[in-house]
Amino acid sequence: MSSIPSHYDPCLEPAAASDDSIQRVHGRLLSDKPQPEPGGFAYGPLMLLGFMSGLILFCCIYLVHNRGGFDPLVYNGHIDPKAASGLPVELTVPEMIAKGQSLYSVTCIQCHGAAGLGQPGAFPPLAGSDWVNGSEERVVRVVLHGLKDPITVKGEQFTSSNKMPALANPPYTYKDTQISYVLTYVRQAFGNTSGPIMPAKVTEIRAASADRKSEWTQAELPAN
Amino acid sequence: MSAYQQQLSPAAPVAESGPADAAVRWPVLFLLASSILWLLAGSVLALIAAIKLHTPGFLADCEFLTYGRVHPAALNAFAYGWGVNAGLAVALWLMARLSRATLPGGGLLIVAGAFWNLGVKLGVLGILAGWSTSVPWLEMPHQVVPLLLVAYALAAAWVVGALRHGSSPRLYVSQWWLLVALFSFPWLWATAEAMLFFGPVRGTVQAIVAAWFAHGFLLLWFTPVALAIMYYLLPKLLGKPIRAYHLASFGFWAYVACAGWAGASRLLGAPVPAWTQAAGTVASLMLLAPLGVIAVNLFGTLFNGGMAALARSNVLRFVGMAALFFVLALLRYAMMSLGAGTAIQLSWFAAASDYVVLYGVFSFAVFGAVYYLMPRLVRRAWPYASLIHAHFVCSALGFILAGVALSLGGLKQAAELSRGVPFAEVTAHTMPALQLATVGGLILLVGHLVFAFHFVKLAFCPCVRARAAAAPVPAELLRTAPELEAAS
Amino acid sequence: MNRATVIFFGAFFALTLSWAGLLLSNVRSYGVLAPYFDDTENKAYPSQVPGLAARGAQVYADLGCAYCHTQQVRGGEPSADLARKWGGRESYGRDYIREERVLLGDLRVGPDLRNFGVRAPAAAELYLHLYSPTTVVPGSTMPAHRFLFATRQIAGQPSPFALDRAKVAVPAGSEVVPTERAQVLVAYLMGLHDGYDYPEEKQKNTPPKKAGEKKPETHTPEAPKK
Repeated sequence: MSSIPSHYDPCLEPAAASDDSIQRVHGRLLSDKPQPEPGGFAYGPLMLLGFMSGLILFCCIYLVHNRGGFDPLVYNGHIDPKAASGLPVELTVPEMIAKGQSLYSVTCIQCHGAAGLGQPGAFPPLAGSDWVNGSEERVVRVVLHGLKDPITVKGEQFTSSNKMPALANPPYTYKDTQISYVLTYVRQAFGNTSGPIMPAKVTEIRAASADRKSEWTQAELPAN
Repeated sequence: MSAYQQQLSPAAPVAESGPADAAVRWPVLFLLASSILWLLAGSVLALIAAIKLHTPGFLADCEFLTYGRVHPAALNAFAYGWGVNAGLAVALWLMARLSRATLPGGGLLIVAGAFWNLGVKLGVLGILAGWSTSVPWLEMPHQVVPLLLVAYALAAAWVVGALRHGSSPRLYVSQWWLLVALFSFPWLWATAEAMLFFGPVRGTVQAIVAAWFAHGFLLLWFTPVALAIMYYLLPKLLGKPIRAYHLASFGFWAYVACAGWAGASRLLGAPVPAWTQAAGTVASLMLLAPLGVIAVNLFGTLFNGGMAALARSNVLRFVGMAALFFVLALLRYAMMSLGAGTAIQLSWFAAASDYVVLYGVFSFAVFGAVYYLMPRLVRRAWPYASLIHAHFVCSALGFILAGVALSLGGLKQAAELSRGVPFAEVTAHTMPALQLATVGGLILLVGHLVFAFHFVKLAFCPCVRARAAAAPVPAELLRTAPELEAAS
Repeated sequence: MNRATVIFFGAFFALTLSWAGLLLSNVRSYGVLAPYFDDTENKAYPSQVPGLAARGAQVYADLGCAYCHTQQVRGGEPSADLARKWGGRESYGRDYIREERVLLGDLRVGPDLRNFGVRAPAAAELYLHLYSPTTVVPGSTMPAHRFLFATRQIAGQPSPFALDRAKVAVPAGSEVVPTERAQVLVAYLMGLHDGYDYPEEKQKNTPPKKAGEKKPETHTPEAPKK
């Protein structure tokens, strides 16, 4: 403490070193680094090195576990997107039905009605219909390419000139998924209890009847 | 200035750095005086905000004092009014001193400072009037930002000019830190303003920009200015060189390299890409390496110089506290960056961590620097040692009280938020912490009033000036400082 | 090159690197996210923010609501956001792309508001909440927003928006009505809802099923288009 005057004035805070000497001494410290004694180690840098290595190792492990595949759409780093991306986008049947319902209320509801009862003599009912609840193949074909009267539904003859339009064609251009959703809905609504129709099935049938241009007739679509 | 020039007559002994101090005297005084006004304004606004948090009925019918306005107004008054003004003042003084620069153009600096203060005033009033952007740390209406940037550039250019034209051949570690602070702040700020308001980016990228800026502002403006002060004042007052100085440059570069990335850790758990959050965590953890080096530098010097010095020097006590808070702040950020999935990022603990940097690191260091530099600028001793001590006690007590309350309350809040405790109960359990924080804020305000009173008394009070003019300049200010001890 | 220049360029380089790494890369990768078009519903999500709500968002910003209310639902293990019914799923980046200013918020003094529209009460109750929060939620520390309301003499028909006289103190012959700012703010709050679950985000953020867990009957729709 020899450099600090014996009388210390806290209102002035005497300087214990000149600016020039601070810069000079530190400049020298920077150029001649402390040498370890012969046979000894410089523990400071060694500890620093060890600490840095440990830190870098930990950070690398952390980054690997939390990087989320560097995918901008992954928000939860704990999920391995490789494992997650192997999984398909899964819609449960209730979700399919919900989507099918919104499709139904846009496209089908005008003719078949909110309760799926149709209009006697003009549009056939869907509730309890064997067309709806029967063969998957037949109902998918009807939706894909349409259906011409005359047909028989639940014992009632429909002979008007109305046609079921082909939803695969403009202006509807339904995709396989949409057909699957709307049919799954129809087969579960209005008291119907038939199973869902998966999009893969629709894809398969669409491919099989790709050259079909006009509406089907009842004769072409046997009930089984 | 004329009185000073008389003292500079060839016969009179020349105090060290006298010419450099004289060259920046008026700009530094101007910036410090305005920063202290902002400090008071910020403290009052912050106190109003703190009271509103537990007593929402307080001033409730004033639209411009609703919590959502008075809180950002306080933050901006503190950060841009107190923080940047005081930071520039200290940077100016330190750079002029360490570069031995006697650059002309002090008048220009005062003009720049005046425009800066005008801009901040418009900005804070704009927030209170309802022009706030609501983006944390960037609330000031963006229309005033170009004015502020030009004013800042003028001042910062002068500081860099002082470095270029100074006669000192060596660059000291404090100057490194000042350079980084002076350069980073406008870079960060202009970029963030451009990406948020002038040509906004889409979606939650905005949140990343805001976090990058907020963290950068704290870690690349406030902290470097504080570190420059610490690295200078410790050897200056203790007469000992910095411990393990050869590592200081590693600490500096590692810090600068990591600090820019650490901001992403503020968004841990937010809807931003997982890798961005992870990058922020890694940077916050990597900052522990420079933290270790800087802590060895600072505390090694402090312990080497003897704790006895702490007992008698107020400046050292302020600077020592700042060093302590610096370690604490980076440890807190590192800890929070590992709290993935917990609500700690959304609790009072996170807010308190920012206050540790803003107040604990920066303000404490600046208080220390002001107590050291003012007698040398005005060539008079502080009138009352007891007031300096009172200010230290108030600042330390008030800040530790508020900080501990908010941190513990925040930890509890975070735990309860993620445990699913009913929200009304979480709110009720946070109340004691918020009430204690108000008490802390009140003590801080008292400390700042003492500080402001003392500053005005020293710098402007006619009776003190008259008494000083009658008495000779204190011998200490004319003494040539001794050599720094060479051995570490 | 002297040391000051090295420091200057070093700092510039370090900052530029963090800017490019954190901001530029995110701007280029997910700052360009487009709304997702749902074939089934023939709608793009997130939906366009209606004009009234967009003005409400400005009121939300100028009053600083975001200092106490976050707008981000967090998934993950220790988070209770989903259990609190603050949302049906965690928030994704795509939810925010229509917003002019994204205010995620960084402090939860009050509850999260990201899906407030789902649990919002009737407008009348929400007005009352803004006017006098403790009347609706006892113990609430939310500031009263009386300045968003006007007390005026009833001239002719009482306003349909006027606050319930039984719950607020109103001088006889007067009524308390929300100003236009209150109305747009309420419109904004009632519209806060991230109802749509984006297939790609859902797929990438759902943890893989544990072995042995029974899979519900599912199917795979076509891969979502970019």
